[in-house]
Amino acid sequence: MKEVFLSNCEKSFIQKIISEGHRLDGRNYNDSRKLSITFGSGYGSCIVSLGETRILAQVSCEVVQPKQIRPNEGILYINVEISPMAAPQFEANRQTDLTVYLNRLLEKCYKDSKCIDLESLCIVVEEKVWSLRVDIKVLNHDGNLIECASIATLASLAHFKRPDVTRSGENVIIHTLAEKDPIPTVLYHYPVCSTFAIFSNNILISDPSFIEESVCTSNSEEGNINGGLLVVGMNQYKELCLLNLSGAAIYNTNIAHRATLSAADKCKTIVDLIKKTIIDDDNLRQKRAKINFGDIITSNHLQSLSRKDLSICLKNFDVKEQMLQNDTADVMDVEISMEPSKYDVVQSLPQTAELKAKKGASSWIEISSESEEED
Amino acid sequence: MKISIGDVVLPGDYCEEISQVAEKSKVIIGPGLRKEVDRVYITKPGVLKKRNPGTFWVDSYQKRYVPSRGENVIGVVVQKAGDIFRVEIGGSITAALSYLSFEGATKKNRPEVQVGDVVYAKMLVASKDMEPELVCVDSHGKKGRLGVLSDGFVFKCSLNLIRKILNPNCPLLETLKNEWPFEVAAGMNGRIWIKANSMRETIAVGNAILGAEYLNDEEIRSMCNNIAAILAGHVS
Repeated sequence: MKEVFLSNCEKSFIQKIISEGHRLDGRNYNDSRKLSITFGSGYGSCIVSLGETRILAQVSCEVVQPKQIRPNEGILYINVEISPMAAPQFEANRQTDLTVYLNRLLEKCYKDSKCIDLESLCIVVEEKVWSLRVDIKVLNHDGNLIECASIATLASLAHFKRPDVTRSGENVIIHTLAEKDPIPTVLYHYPVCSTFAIFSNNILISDPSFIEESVCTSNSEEGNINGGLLVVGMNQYKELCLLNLSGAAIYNTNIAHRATLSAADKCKTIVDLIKKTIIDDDNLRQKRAKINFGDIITSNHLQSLSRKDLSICLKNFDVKEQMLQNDTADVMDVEISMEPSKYDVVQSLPQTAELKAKKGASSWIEISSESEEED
Repeated sequence: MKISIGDVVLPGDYCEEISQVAEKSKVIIGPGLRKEVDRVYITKPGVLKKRNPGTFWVDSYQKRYVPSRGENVIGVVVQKAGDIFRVEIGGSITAALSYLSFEGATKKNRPEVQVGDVVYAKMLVASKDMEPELVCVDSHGKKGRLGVLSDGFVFKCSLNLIRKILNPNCPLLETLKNEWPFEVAAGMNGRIWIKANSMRETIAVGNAILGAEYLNDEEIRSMCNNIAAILAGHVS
């Protein structure tokens, strides 16, 4: 992995504005970036975006032999992948410290906290159990991968449904989704990680962006011990599931306490959001509505042009408000000068569309074609 | 489908118009175009542009910098290696900057450059098979505006935004300069260095520059006024 070089002026600037009570993107210390969860067409796939950080999670299952020491429990396996797509400093197919760190943290948070009922994944004791595999793929890296990855893991696990099985004597029949309704995974509680960047040993910043993260960890490398990243895992009942500190040692006892308090509220809202989106998604699926990632990609594509959040922003600067003003102005202009579109967007194959020239809607095309014929 | 100037083009398309012009006179094909046997193919998605008499190029959205000679760039010094500094400019490899290419620098009188400093430099050598080379002086040995940038803040943006704000017709800096004092250096490699009297003003400059990316001239003016009002405290 190539190192990311931070210039001295970036470091000192970030430290200064944070000590003055501001943040680069205009947030308050406790504000998180915008969180959105979207589900894919299959069960157990979702894309979670936290600001510009974006992670894809996919759960899959297969029948395997259980471990010897736990003959009646299923297996949960978490795999994190970071490719050059996330950020140019990563190399393809190479395990870095960051992937190992993320993997271990997620395992701690979901396996060791026993939030999944692994015993319900058992089919035949000592012979056949379900093995759940969570694949985490980082699509874009803009800081706070841990929080985003943990939300993605949790949402995909809660959304996932495994096929139903029936046992007849020695045989085990795995039913397809069409034959029998699939079974959802049983989750006892919903743990979520949240990250805090510690600056000058008493300022806690939630949901740090990439530059804030790098400034805060680069501090500690130079022996100037006052920064670090604190990861707090908590479930909706405000029970602590995970505590991890990377970077410097903290000697301010107050910090961990403040972080857990702030994480408790945050985790509650995140879990509520996950539950709500899953229920909404279920309702849509029952109505047989088409759900896939195609929708978010096209809608985000439009949004990325109008740029809802800027990486450098004043506290009171409201892009949306301005956009609204501009939009109303635009709409008026557009209405005057709008001419009928020459093309129709027609659905052809599933999940694709093609442009077709409208017939009759535009007289211009026909005239031009006639004139060509005359020639 | 026939491709004409101003169309949105995709890699693999070819433009017959360029070949037709080329039969009569000399043509210069710029970024995003490539001559293959007897056709001119497009290699980047974007908008096909032309400047008379015969210059064609594709205007595409891009963040990755490809060094080209004579451009002013902003880089971060990442290493001191003997006679040269290695400067990270956002390209595929780092660029070299000799310590003698500063104003008044001699073997005995070395310039004061530390690892982690931000430099504003001119691209001297940018060949596709060689390490790019930077200088901080012009041909008369004067530094002009080049050199080490101290304090302030550096941020990254798309290459299109740099070209947009450096365009003499762009109202952004014209409008901003009347509102409050600041310094700005824009590198063609998608980095902008800004410095103002206070932190808040510096952020405001950055905000205005990044916000201008997808706005037209009129919207940019209104946004600048809006930011100036926020800065002055008129808007809560």
